[in-house]
Amino acid sequence: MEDSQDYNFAVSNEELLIRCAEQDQEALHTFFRRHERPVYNLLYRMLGNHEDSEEALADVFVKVWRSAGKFRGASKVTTWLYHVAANTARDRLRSRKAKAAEVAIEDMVMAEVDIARANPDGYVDPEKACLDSEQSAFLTAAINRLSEEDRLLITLYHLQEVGYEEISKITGISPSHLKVKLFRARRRLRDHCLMLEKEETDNEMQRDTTEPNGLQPRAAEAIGD
Amino acid sequence: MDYSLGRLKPSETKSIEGHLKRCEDCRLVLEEERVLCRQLGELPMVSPANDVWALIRSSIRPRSSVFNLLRTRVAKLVAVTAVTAIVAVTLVNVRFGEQGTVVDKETVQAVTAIMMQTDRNTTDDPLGSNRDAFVGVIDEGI
Repeated sequence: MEDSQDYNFAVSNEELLIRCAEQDQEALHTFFRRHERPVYNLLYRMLGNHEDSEEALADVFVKVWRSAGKFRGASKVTTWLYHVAANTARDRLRSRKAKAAEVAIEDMVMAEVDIARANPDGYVDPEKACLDSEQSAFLTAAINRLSEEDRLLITLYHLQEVGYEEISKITGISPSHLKVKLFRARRRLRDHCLMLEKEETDNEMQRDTTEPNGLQPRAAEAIGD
Repeated sequence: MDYSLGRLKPSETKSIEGHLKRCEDCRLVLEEERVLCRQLGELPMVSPANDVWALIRSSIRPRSSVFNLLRTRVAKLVAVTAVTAIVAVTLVNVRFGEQGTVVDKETVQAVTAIMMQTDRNTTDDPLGSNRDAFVGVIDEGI
């Protein structure tokens, strides 16, 4: 993947933004390489698919390029960046006229397996990856059923490990209210997980009833013929 | 959540533990919270499949040379002076217009030229050393 020099940690985020405001493309490139993964992760968990998330990722950094000069240092650069990313995701979600098509759990498991395989953090045991992926898929599907705000809060706090103070600045929700909102979001997430599990069990039972041998319809047809 | 993570004060922790001993519902909620938080923490970090930088690079273009010229201090100074001149000419027109006098085009141009030379840092008298010339031109105009 990208060379570690792309991150260039010798230069601060603030310095990179100043250079971006002066039209330095190299500075934006370094800034992008440094932050693309966490920002993409947030966008993916908000938008639920790679295509939208990649377009949104590009949008976020184009916005950074255009408004770098407006950054006054009142908050951390990452707070500002997450704020831009969250707004971009929200705009995209609102621009979707119809609700995003629900993805089947099987497809989500495959997507999560792909994510686990693509994870550059180290070796992944294939069997464990599959079990983990099933759990991740259920959780991801449940997250996708949450409201926009719940999804943002859960992602920022639990997946991105952003603190209460920073989330408060990103979302504009007071820190004390934030804890209550997070708790409620987790309860709703748990409810969605239980609902999904029930739906999946019902589907399996239905499949077992229609195909007693567990064969695919076409295979059953072929044997019947 | 803060209790699970051990972020509470000892007195608060003790109080919650006392309650948990008596309340089965809260013990259940706490256990569910712990499991959910652990599972959320285990969700993998997702990376983009394609290199998005190419898409970004095609969307950003350095601003035009005209824009860059406008960003320079000299250009800003000229712009400020020009705006001041326009405002002054307008005020002159309004003032003398009320008295039934029309300031002709040549006068306006002359005033504008003088204002362009005016030192913008002179705060006490906006016309500075050009006051006499300015008044002279206005007198001739009317």
